[in-house]
Amino acid sequence: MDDGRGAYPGEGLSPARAAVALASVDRSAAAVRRHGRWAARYLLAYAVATTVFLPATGLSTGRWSLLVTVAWIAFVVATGVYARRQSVLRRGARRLYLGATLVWALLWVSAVVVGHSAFSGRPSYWVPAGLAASVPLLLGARLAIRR
Amino acid sequence: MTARHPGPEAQGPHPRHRLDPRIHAPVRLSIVACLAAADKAEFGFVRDAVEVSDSVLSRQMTLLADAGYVRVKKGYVGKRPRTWLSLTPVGRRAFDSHMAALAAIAARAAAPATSDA
Repeated sequence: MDDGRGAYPGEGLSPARAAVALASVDRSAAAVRRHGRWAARYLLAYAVATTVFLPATGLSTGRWSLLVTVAWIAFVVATGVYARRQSVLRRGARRLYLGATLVWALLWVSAVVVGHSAFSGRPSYWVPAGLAASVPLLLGARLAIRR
Repeated sequence: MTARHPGPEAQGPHPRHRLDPRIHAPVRLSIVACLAAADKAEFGFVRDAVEVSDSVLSRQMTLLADAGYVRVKKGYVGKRPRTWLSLTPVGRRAFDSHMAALAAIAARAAAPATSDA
């Protein structure tokens, strides 16, 4: 490949060498894509946890309620450590994460407020609420995989 | 009636004039390509992806940062120091323009050398 030291960059750069340069760009982008898949796994983990923890939060009482809170904190800390250890964030992943978690947080808070005021102790409300709140995270994970 | 294809001379200035000298060198192109696909990437990740030494990457990053193409942010994860690299909007525009020029040059392989055989 041309080193760009000619009278102008790319002097003598043939179409074949330009194609080689484009291929090297593709390889670099592929490395980022490979190592950036963690964001999809992260969102997926939160989606699955939501289907468990939101109903558990609404249906548990007394000692069980404390246990659920401790388990939720442990989950948040573990996923936070996992995220901080990653070495690359794919293009657009930050915006995707913020969008998905914003909608998720709104759904979670709404579900808890409505649930505690009108559906206390009713699994027929809390289980579907957990599934519904996980949807933005599942969509975010799907988008993160497809990009 | 024969179809007339415009030769390379009829296609305007050669796209090589749009290549960016600060990106054009192979190592810098790989670095910028890596960062273009990411919101941010850790120094060690870029070093391994581009397959260069710490000192080579550090030298190239200084050149790119001085050109305003790359942002360097230092921080810690626990007690471990980490350096995060990201492309600035100026760097991203320069990379897009450089890629367009490379694609145009590569596409010339299919163009006939003369207008009529």
